[in-house]
This record gives sequence, structure tokens and C-alpha cells, in this order.
Amino acid sequence: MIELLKKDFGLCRHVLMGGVIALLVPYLAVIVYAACTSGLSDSESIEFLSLSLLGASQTSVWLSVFSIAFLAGFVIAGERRDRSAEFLAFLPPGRSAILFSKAIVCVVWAAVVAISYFLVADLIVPWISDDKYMYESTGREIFLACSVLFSVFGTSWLASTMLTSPVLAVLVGLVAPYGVTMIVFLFQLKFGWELNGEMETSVYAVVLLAVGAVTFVGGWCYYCKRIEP
Amino acid sequence: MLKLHPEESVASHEPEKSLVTGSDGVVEINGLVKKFGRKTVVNNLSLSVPRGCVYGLIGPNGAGKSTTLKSLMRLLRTSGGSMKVLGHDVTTDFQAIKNRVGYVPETHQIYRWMKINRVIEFTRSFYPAWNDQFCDQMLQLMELDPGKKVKHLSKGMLAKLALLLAVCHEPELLVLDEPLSGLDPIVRDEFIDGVLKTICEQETTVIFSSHTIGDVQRLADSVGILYGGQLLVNQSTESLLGSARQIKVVASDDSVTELNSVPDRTIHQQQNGRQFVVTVPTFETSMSQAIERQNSVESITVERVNLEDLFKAYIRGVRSKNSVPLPGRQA
Repeated sequence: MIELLKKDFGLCRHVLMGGVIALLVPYLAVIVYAACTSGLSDSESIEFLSLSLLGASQTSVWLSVFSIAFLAGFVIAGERRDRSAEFLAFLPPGRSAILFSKAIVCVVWAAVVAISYFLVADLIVPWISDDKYMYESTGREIFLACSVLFSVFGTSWLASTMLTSPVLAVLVGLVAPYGVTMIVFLFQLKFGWELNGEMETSVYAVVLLAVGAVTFVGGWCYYCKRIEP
Repeated sequence: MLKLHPEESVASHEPEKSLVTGSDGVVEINGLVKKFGRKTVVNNLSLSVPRGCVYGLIGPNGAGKSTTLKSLMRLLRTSGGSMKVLGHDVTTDFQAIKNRVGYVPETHQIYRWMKINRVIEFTRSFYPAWNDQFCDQMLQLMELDPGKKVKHLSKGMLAKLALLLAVCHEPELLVLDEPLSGLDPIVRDEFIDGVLKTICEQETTVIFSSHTIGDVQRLADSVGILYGGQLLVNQSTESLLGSARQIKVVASDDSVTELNSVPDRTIHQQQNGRQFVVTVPTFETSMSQAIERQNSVESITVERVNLEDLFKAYIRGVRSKNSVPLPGRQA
């Protein structure tokens, strides 16, 4: 398993490097902007930095949608595209072990994204800000962000198990949240469901989470059953 | 005038049982069918390869060699038939024998971004029986630089690396799909003499496909000729070449367009001016005597036939729908 993991991290190294850059760019932008900005009082500076960092943390999470899609899209279809999947298919590890290793790579990356967000939004920002509770993330926002990320991951993963083109798998993943949202919205119109803002967010988040879970499990089952690598 | 070589009369004999119906084969294929859409690429192919045998599968492009081997290695979903490798059903139980089988595909798809030593380390980790000493010997024999990246290897070096990865866990069965395709003649000879012969001399059962007939004749104990997804011949190389003959008949005048009394079991008959070449799977003196009696003949010579000529005769024979007997042909 260790060797499979090392291989999969190596396989996805470019995507992961791109993801790290996308994760850090908003913070770097804040640091550069803060360094270039003068004329603010100490309290204004702290307030500005707090807000900027909070914005950067949220931006980096939304940018991670792309890195998650790329990772899930490339981790299986990428091997199929360069046909190294045929080499792997003949080695002793079974399909489940192969998938488990790939899933771990994705989970590790999701953990890095989540940790970086909570580190900044829930620890650093409250620590430097005067108002300790003002910038705390709400559970609903986090739930929605996680749902979007998971639906992108799940659909990209499913497409990756089926397709030879990783680019297509990535696109499927990126389009999925829009498609799901559109379908839920059409259902709302058709059946006249009226949801208030908070309820609506929760419904969308639950549906996206369900889509992510179903597509992830579906992709896993499909890959284990297919004969061709 | 009748000229016959010393082994002028070759008794007809049945092909080895083990190759045809053996139940103890390392590889047993029964009625394999593989279709791509409506096209049938492998059609009811049956084959049994006994332990320790070096089996060469030959055929023209598109004959179904790679498809057969890929199906055997569970890399393709089959459309019918059953296959057993080392006693395990390939369809349901292939995972159990992966450790005991080595496979070199036609195109080598090893991770290009890895260095050779990293690929070896990666592959080695999955095989408890990996032989480090043998691996080092093979690295030296193949002159592979462990620090080199796979993407920087030439086609020949890549083929060598693929073979190294397939043999260092000392598999009981080695399946090689066109291992020599695309190699230049010098690398090819080095590869055959230095590497493949070493492997073939061991107890490993080897199945390899090729459309370079000379390589098969050099290495294979047994040979199968595949055409149109069907096995035309399945016989030991020795008995196949030992019994087949070419009867070369030169007619007395240009007016002869067809030979009379051609043996029933003729594989293929070819005419070039006054010369007729009749390829037969087994030869008896009475055959040439009958031809001489029934035709206006200037000379008849009977010659041994090499595998390449025999292969061509079988393929041409089938193409011209002129072939009749197929020694060792599967039911």
C-alpha cells in the first residue's frame, strides 16, 4: 500500500503542486497588498488584515474546487490515458487496493485544504482580531462548501473511472454542482416549493453531498467490476 | 527425374496429445470467443500449453494474437469460452495467480516519470518471491542504468526493462506479447540470445506471440498458427517441421497450368512459370510418385521447409480456400 501511495502521489504531483499554488495565492496576495498599503492606524490595519485573511481563506477554498476536480479526474483516467493503467492492472494489487490508495491521495489533499482554512479562519483571524467571534465561520457555510467540494470530487471520480480523458472527467466534475443546482431549482419551480434562505442552502448542500456520495461509491463499484484497466 | 532428400519418407503422425486436449496444462483455453462490436476477432479458440513448454503464437497482423493473450491475462472482457491458468479460472479467480505469472505487453506502458530503480522498487514490493540477485544479474546483462528515467529509454531498453520486471519474481508462466517488435536486428539478437534463451532454458512456461517467424523457430518448443481468430496449427515445432515438406515440381513444358494428383492433404500449391511448389504437412514417397506418373514432369525435388515458408503456405492456403488438412487443428 505504501508503494501504491508513493506512486499515486508521484502521479499527481503536478496537480498537487498546482493545488498548493492555488491554495497559497490568495494569502500571498493579501500579504503583498498589506505590505504595499500604508496610512492605516493600528486598529484599522488589524481589522483590514483580519478581513483580508478571512476573504483569502474563503477564496482559497473555492479555488480548491478546481484542484479537487483535477485530482479526482487525473488520479484514475490519467493512468488510463498514458496506458500505465495496463502495467498496474497486471501487478498483484487488486482493484480495491488501487482505488483505496487513490482515494487516500484525494482525502489527504482535502484535509490540507480544510486544515489551511480552519487554521486561518478559525484560529489566526480570531487571534489577531479584536472581536474574537465576529469572523467565526457558520456551520451552514462550511457544510455548503464541503458539499460542493464533495460533489465535484465524486462526479470527477466517477467520470475518471469510466473515461480515458482526464480533462473530460475534470469538466464533468466542475459542471456537476451547476447541473445539480439547476435540477433542484427546476424541481422547486415545478412543485412550488418555497424555501427560506437558510433552508434553501441546507437543501442544496444535502443534495450536493448525496450526489457526491453516490457518484463516489458508484465510481468505486464500477472500477472494481470493469475488466479493462 | 525424382530427387529426394535423405529423410524422403516421413510417416504421418498425430500431434502431441498434450497440446491439443491436455487437462494438465499450465494454460488451458476452451472455445475462446472475443468480439469487438460485430467483429469476431477470436473465434472458438482452444489451446492447452503444458508445463515447461515454450509456446510461440504466430499469425499475420490482426490474426488475434494480442487479443488472445490480453484475454488470457484478464485485460479484456471475453465474449465466450473459458480459460484456466495454473489451474485457476481466469474469469473468476485471476487475482489468485497474479503473483505466479509474468506479462510483457506489446507496448510497454511503464511509468515514464519513474527512474528504473524506482520502477523496480515499486514492482518488487508486490512480489514476495522477488529475486534480488537475479534482478541485479538481469540489470547487468541488459546493461540498464538504474538511475535513468523510463522516458529516456530507447524502445529496446524499454523492452528489456519490461521483461526484467516480468521475470524477476520467477513466474511459473511468462506471457510475452510481441516482445521483439520494433527492435533493430542487433538488439533483437542480443535480446534473444542473452535474455530470452536464458529464460526459456529454465522451467518457466513461456507463451509468446510474434509475427517474426525466425524468432519463433529459434525459441519455441511448440507453435500455434493463428489466422482470422482461429488456430490453424497447434503442434510441436520439431514434429511440424520434421514432417512438413515442399514438393517442387518442374513441368516439362509451359502448357501445364495445373498439377494432377496433388496430395489430398496439401496445405498450399503455388505456381511460378513451369515450377509448382506443393506444401504438404506430412510426406510419403507415393505422393511424388503419383505426381510424376500423372503429369509431364521434368524434375521433382522434395525439400524440408522452414517455419516461415510453412507459415506462409498455411496462410495462403486458407486465403485461397485451398487448404484441407490442418495437423493439430482444434475441433
